[in-house]
Amino acid sequence: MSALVLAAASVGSGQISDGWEYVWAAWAIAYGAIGLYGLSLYLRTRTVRNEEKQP
Amino acid sequence: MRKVLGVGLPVVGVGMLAVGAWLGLKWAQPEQYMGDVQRIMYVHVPAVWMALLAMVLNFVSSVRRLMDRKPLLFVGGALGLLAVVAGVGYQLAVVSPANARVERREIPPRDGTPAFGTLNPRLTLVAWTGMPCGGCAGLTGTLQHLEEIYRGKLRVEYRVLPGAQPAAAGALLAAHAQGKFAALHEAMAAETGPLDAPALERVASAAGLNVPAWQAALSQRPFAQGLEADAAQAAGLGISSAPALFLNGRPLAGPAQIATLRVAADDELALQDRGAVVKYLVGMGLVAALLSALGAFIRTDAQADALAEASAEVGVLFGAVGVLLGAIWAKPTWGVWWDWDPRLTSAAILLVAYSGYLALRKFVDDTERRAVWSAVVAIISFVDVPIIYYSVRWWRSLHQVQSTPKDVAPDMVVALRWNSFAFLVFLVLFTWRRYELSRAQLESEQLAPPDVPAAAEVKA
Repeated sequence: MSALVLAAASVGSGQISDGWEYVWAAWAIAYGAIGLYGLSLYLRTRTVRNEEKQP
Repeated sequence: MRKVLGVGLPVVGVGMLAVGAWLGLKWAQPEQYMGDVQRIMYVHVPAVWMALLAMVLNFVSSVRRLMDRKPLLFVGGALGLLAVVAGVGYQLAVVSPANARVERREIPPRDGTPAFGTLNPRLTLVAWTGMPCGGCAGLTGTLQHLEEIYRGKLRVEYRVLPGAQPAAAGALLAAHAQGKFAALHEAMAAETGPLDAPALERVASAAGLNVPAWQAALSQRPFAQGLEADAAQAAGLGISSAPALFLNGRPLAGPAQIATLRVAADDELALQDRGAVVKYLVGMGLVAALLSALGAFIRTDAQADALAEASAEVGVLFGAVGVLLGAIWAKPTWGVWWDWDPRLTSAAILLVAYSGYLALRKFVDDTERRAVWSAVVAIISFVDVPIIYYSVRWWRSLHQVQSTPKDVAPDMVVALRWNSFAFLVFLVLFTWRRYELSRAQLESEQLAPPDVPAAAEVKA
């Protein structure tokens, strides 16, 4: 019965209710990927520059 | 300048991402059906767009790597010109004569009129009805059947002709307020006697209307303005009797039967498809010319190869993020993380193809071979990019069709555009930085001394 009430509550308005955990996960992955790739580029660039400085 | 950009672009990008997060997570309103889950769109769509842009850059660089600048400009320009000439020729020889034989009338849209079907139709059927109406029996059922056949393409709108019995016209629009327009229309059409007040009440009751509410609406006449607008439109179009049907403004002669309506609808869709061929040809021509001009800006083969590698890696990054975010969005909306739907499948193929491209570059040591082989692989892989874009239009897809600013709420447009530009800053920054790494790697490979020959070779 409680499952039926929950189901009715979630579809009753015709709008998906809640779902913020999916939203946070998606934004975290997007921003995390941009940050991590930026960091990897920075580290790779620094390594190349250090190698160039060596005789 | 480079130093300023090197510091300025990340600062601007991070600032734009911060504002974009506020716009997407706080400022934009929840979507009517998807609620807050829709907020995933503000990062999913920009990520996919950046991936496709990066792949376009990869394609241009790869073609440039295989062709020198002048031949590239010549071939691109010639292809572009050929496509534009073919498009214009097709328009003049086929499309314009076909359109010229069709008479069309301008029928302005009217708010609040009884209507059903898609909101973005290729076919709009305006049906004038009213009482008395000799050929109106079964009309609403026929039009509902037609909408089922052309689902997603057709919108049906009714207009009411006051005619000889204005009370009946008002009764129909009052019934529309209860969602009973079709029911009352069919009940009226079946009535053989005059539609006086007692007959209207009897018919309304038989059609399942809330009669007191319907009578209240009839006395208050909230529909009066709409009825006058319909009457004015009918006079302008020269309509004197019902039913009168117009498909995309084209008057339909003969009885409103499903077979004749289908012939007209198919003809109309064929006309539009022919017009779309012209748009594709001219569009392809302009794109070919634009891309070849873009490619001609890349001066050396080494630059082209480095830019191809950089754009592929950045494209795979944004593509992987886009696909992952799409899966997260799919779970609460479709109920599954993944579906082998045309859009998702073609996006997955893109990721596999460009990951293979990057792997190929790691396996080949010879710089010339690596550049040529990978350029060929990139050009073949690029075939998937337009397939991804058009997959939702070409095939029945679970994935929604691309939205345009006209289709979505203004706050969504602002949040989506802002986040797209924020991602674009990072696309430019990442591609530039990765390009410099590739150039440095290429230069070190070219400067490196050749491999020391094996002892056996030295002896020989």
